[in-house]
Amino acid sequence: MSPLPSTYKPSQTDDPREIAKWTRVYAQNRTLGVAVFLLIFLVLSAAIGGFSSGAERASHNGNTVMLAVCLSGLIVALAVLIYLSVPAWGFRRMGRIASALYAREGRVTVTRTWAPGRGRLVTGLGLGFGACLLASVLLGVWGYLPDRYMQPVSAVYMVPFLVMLTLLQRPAIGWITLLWPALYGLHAVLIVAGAPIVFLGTWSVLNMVIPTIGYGLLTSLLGHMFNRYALHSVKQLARTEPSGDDRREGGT
Amino acid sequence: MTDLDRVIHEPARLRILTILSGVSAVDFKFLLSALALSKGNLSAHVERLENAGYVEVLKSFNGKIPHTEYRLTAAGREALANYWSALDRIRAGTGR
Repeated sequence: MSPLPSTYKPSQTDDPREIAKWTRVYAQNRTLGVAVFLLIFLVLSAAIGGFSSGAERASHNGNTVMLAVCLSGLIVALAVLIYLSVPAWGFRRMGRIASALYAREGRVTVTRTWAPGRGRLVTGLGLGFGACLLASVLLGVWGYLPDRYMQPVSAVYMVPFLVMLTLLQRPAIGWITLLWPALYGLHAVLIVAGAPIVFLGTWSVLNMVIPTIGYGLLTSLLGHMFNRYALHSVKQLARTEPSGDDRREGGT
Repeated sequence: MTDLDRVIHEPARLRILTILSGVSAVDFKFLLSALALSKGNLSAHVERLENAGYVEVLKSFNGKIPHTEYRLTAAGREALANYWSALDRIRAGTGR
């Protein structure tokens, strides 16, 4: 995209041509919105868990007021979770969050190359992912899939899904996003190899929360750090002393 | 110096074009913060680039707030590539 001649050497770090590269890196790594989005998911998941157990206890104790409160909370949390899970609504919301977070710095965009027919591919990908997720949850509920292998089995569809998600959004997002599926896959391999990273009993929920939300958060925070570094580099390279030409044109 | 484009050769304009060459579009706010120029200065430079046909200005509204974005045109991209090539030739001592 950048019209750099063949004689250009990327190692020339003080070369103004580096501005193009760092501006692009900055635009591709505005990932703080993903971190906020994942935190919202984490809070919603915790709320659903809390309201469910609260409702169960209230029902057991015959506390109808508490039962009504917990069920109402559960319905609201589930409705918000479903709303955010639908790509057309959730991704739009995530885009708005990212825009709001970086609003002070202005807008920089790298348009993704959206070939015709990709819309159907995205829909197919989403449906395939949903079907795999449902199948693995059902296998777990029916007792065919032990807690220990829940994450490795999920990696079979989760890793390709996250990789495809990155590839489909290229070049609008950076390669750093691939760290998420890489860590997810590595986690699965370590579990299969027998590494002591499996949580049991009441903590078993962490077997899915850490690779899904934890690695996602880590990736988005690293992306944001890279974004900060890129912005610093852009400013360092782009800020120049006003020249005589500047003054002639009526600047301060 | 003879084959260097005078419109691009000015440092602020060169940096504006270089920023635009790395991405699809950039708004006024980002350019202002990245270049640390005054609003008047930035407007004057962008206007000159627009008049030369190197930059496309896209005006829109975010609600009631006007929003201005800039894009590098095909001519701007070519002119910038030619500028860097010419500069490299001069630096290498092969330019006139």
